[in-house]
Amino acid sequence: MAEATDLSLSLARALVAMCVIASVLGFIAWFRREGPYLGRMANALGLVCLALSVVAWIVRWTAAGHLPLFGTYESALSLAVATLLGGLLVMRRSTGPAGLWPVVTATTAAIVAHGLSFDPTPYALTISERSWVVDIHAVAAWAAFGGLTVNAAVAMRRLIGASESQTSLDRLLTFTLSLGFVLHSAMLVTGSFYKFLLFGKVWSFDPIETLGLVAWISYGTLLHMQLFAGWRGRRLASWCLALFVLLVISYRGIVYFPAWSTYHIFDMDLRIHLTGSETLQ
Amino acid sequence: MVAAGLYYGFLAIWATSSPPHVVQNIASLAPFWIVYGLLLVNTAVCLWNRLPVLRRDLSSSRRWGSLGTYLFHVAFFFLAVGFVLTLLGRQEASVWATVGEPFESRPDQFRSASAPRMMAPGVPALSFEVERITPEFWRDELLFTTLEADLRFPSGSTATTRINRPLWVSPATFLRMSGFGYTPRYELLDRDGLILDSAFVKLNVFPPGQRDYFTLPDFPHRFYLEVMPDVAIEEGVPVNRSLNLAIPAVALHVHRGRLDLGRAVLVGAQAYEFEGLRLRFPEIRYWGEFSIVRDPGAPVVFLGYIVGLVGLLLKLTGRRPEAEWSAGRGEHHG
Repeated sequence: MAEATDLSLSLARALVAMCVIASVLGFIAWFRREGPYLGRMANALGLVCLALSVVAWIVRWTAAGHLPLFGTYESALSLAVATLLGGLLVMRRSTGPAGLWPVVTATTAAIVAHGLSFDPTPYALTISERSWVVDIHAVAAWAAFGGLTVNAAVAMRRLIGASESQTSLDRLLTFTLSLGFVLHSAMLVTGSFYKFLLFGKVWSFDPIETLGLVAWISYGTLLHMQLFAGWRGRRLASWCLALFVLLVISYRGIVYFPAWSTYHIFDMDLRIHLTGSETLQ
Repeated sequence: MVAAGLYYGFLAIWATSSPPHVVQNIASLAPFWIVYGLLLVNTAVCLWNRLPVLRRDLSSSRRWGSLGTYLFHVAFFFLAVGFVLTLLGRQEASVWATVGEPFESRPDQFRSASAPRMMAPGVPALSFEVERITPEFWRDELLFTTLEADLRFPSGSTATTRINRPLWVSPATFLRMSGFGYTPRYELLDRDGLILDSAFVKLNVFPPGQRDYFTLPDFPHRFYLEVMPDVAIEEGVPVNRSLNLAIPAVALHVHRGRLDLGRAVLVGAQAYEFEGLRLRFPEIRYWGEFSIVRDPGAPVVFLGYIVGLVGLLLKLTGRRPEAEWSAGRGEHHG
């Protein structure tokens, strides 16, 4: 298991490096309109990043013996796979040279680098995480993050004055906004349902719930403005980017809350000092 | 919606320095209720105004997206009703039951119970016996990988409950395992070996290192205990090897008032003598803490979740025209 953990860490570090290179090349391709060479290279590197992330994720799954959802490092790997998959799925759309890889790989690099700063020791899943409801909740969370990262990437592409069809970009912006909202809703719902199974309460304003709700309300408000106030183009794109920052905080900021304030910190080195009934939760 | 977003944002920031129950109290203050009320009224008005549009979309062009939007917003009212029912009718009680001990909902068997509410006089009466409690730890760390209890009911049926798998007693009531600990059985003997008293005592002595005490009604002594579930003697010193109840020992410390009557580590049937009495702990079992929760609002909330998600999926996949609103005349163009 130690070897597998080391391999997972090495792959994760390589992923960060590769994503940084892909992102830099991609941004250069975005701003240098002439010559498709850089764009093709960024596309290829994006695919390499995706392959690397999937391998790292599978290695981690093998080492830990469970779906990689326990702890900040594991969740970073899972978010990386979901985000890069999102980049792949929109690759064929009219999103210009380098597709959306610059933003997608930059986000992936940041998420995985953040995850690497936490304890990567694989732990067995505690009983409270051993449930198919948790698995669905985690997958919905990853998919929502991936979808909204793609949304942010489209938004940035829209803001820098892309050469490709603005109508096409606007349509993709709206679709990813709606899709991300649906997946985020599914994440909140499954989390609430599992909270009831675990604690007998549907909602208790745990900071993770509150942060998720803030992001949900924010994206919901933006959808209403898009539908009813005619927010389009650059205006909508600006707000999508701003809310993406909020989303990242809601997903990754919980680990900076005190361990006693939230159940949703799964880094055992941050929780192991808790004793008594708290450990059973 | 903006106000709600800001309120919850401040609530999240507040949670970094306030305990959870304070955060929950803040979330139940008037400003939040005002925002909820305004949102619901606004949603109700919009749903009423859009009813003709929905009828037209469904009958003429079968635009399921319109129905999806409608269902999603109708779900808010399911959530509102569910949360109100929870506020008015939720009851929770916790009980301790040792393996082999029948639970019969006697008042003395409840460890705690929430106060009666408007729609609920108390938790429903349940009866069961704990047949077995099975804990498993990961690498002897304080990390449960399994914690489940096998229960037998008066009807003869059996069921297993886990900390994350409650037993549904009725649509709004469930029983779940919520805690775990050790229950030593003491035997108090006189000089001649006659057993004066014996019983199981449910103590908070888990995890190992946690100390609790008990007293006996006819004796002035106080008995402090720590349980070592898997003891070994290393270089003359008792050490605990694991969290599994393999070779249990009790670290005993006896007091009478302020007088320290000594201490000992007792393994198996070993007894400790003090003031003409002997105390031993021949048996240690597990106890389980069980929560009985009755929440009439929860099923309504879950139904709201389903309706809302179905609505979102219909909206995402169905065709729907963009809605535009003209200011001033209150007309809308579909």
